[in-house]
Amino acid sequence: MQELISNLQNSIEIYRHTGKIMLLLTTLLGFFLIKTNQRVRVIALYVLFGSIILLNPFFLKYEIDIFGENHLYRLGMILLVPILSSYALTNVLLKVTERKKRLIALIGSLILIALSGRFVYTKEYFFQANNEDKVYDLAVDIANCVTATNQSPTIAITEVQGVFIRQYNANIKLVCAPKVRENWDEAEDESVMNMRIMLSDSEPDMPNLTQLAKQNGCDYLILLNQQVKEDNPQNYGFRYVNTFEDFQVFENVQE
Amino acid sequence: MLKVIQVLLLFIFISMLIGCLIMKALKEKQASFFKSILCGSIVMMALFEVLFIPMTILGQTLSRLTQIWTILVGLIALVSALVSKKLILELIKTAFLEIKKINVFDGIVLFFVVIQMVICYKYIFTHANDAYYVGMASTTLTTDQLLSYSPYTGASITWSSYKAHLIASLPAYWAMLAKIFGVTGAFMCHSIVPVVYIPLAYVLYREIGMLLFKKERNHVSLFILMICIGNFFIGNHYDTSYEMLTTSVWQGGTFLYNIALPGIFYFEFKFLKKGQNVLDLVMAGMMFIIGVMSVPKSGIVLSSLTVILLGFSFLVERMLTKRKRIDAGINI
Repeated sequence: MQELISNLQNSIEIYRHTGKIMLLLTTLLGFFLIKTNQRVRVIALYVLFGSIILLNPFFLKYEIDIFGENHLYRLGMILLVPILSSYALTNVLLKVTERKKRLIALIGSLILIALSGRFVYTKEYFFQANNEDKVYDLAVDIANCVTATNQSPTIAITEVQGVFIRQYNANIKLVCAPKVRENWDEAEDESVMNMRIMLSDSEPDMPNLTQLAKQNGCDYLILLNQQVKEDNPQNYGFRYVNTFEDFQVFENVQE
Repeated sequence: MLKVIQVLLLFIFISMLIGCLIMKALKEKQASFFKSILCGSIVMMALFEVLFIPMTILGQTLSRLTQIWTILVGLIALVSALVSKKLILELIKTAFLEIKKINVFDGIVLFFVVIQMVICYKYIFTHANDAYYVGMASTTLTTDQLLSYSPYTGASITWSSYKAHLIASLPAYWAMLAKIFGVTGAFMCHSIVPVVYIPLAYVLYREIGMLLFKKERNHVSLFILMICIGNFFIGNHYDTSYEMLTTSVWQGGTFLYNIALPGIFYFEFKFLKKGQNVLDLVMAGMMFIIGVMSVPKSGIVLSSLTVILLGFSFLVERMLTKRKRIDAGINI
C-alpha cells in the first residue's frame, strides 16, 4: 500500500510542473455544462483513459522501463492538451449566449490558459545569434578557431559548449559526449569517463588531464579561465592559441 | 531569394500537387488548398521514412537517398498534375475564396501565427536536445552517411547498435531537405523548419476543428485561437515541457506532440466517426509512421497508445450508448 501511495506521489511529481494537464482536466469539467454528443463523449473518455494510464501507480514501474526515468514525462503527450482543452473551452464558451457574458468568459478562458504555463517569448529562453545558423556565437568562434588549420580536429571541451559546437560544424569530433542524450548509449572507456570528470572540475589535475587528452587523440583542449589558474596545459606539451569569453583554447603540439 | 523559391516550390506547389491526389482519392467534398498541402507534406515525410530504413541498412549515402526520394516525389506530383488538373484549379480558386472569408478571430490567429514564425526565424530557443536533432542533421549532411556517425561526438558507429534511431529518421529528413535547399543542417532546423511547420500545424488544427465542430466556421476559429494563445505559454518546467510548437518544432518530441499525435488523432477520429473511407485509415497510418520517425522509442509507444486509446474510447462510447441507438433505430 505504501509503495502504491509513493508511486502515485511520484506520478504527480513528474507531471506537477505540467500545469497544462491541470488545464485540460479543469476545462473538461465544462463538459458537464453542455449537451453531450458523440464527439464530446469520446473526447471525455479519451482524457479519462489517458489520465488513468498517466497517473496509475500500478503502471509506473512498467512505464519507467519503457521510457526511462528521464523521459517518463513524455507519456503526458497522449493527452493532447492544447487540442482537447481548447475543444472543451470552446464548447463551454459557445454555451454562453449573451454577448457580454461570452466576452467575459472568453477573457477568463484566456487567463486560465496563460496561468497554466509560462510566457515563452522572453530573454530567458530566446536569444539573438550573430550567425546564420543561430548557434551560440561562442561555439561558432571556438569552432572556427579549432578548424583554422585542421578541417576535422578532435577536441575536449566542457559539457555546455559541447552541446552546441557540432551543430555548427559536424567535422569537429568531441572526446566526451554531452550527458543529456536521446536514448543514445555511446560506449565510453574509462579514460573518457575520467576526462569528463576532470573537465567539469574547477581545478583539474592538469598533468593527468593533458595525459588523458593525448591518449584520446585530442588536438585541442578547451578549458575555462578558472580551470587554468593553478596549472596550465602549456606546461605539458600544449600551446596557447586564443581566448573566447571564459574559454581558453590550447593546441596539442606534441606528435 | 532562390532558396525561398525552392522552399515555396517544395512545400506549397509540390505538396499541393501530391495532396490533390489524396483529396481525389479521399473524395473530399470540401477539399481545400491548405488541406492538400498538409496531406502532401504527410506523404512526403512518410515516403522518406519508408526509404530511409532499407537504405541505411544497405549502407547507402544521403545523396542517393535524396535522389531516389526526389524522383519519387516528382513522379507522384507529375501523376497528380495529369490526373487531377480540374481539382488543382478548383483548389487554387477556393484558396482565394477562403482568404476572402476570414473573420475577426481568423485575423487575430493569423497575426499571432505570423508573430510566432517571425520570432522563431529571427531568434533561437536553446535546448539541450538540439545536440541530438540538429547535431544529427548536421552530421548526416556533412558526412553524407546515414546513421554512421555519432551526432554527439562524431565517432564512427554502426546502425545495428542504434536500432531505435534507425526508425526515428526525423533528423535525417531535415538533413535531406537541407541538401536539397543547399543550406546547413543548423539553418534548416533553426530557420526553415519553423517557418514551414508552424503554419502547417495550424492547418492541421483547423482540420481538427472542422471535424469536431461540424464545419461551423466561427466555432473553429475560436478553437484555433485558444490553441494559438496556448502556444505562447509553454509548460511550467523547461526540461519537461513539450508545448513547444513555437519554440523548437525541429525536435522530435515537439514534432510528435504538436503534429504527429494530433494528426493520428484527426485521421483516426475521422475514420471511426464516419467509417466510410479507408483512405482516412491510410492517412492515419502515414501519421503513425511520422510519429514513429520523430522520437526514438517514445515515438512508437506514444503513437501506438494514441491509436489504442482513441479506438478504445470510441468502443466504450458505442457500448454506453447502445441502448439509445437501438431506441433511435440506428443500425449498429
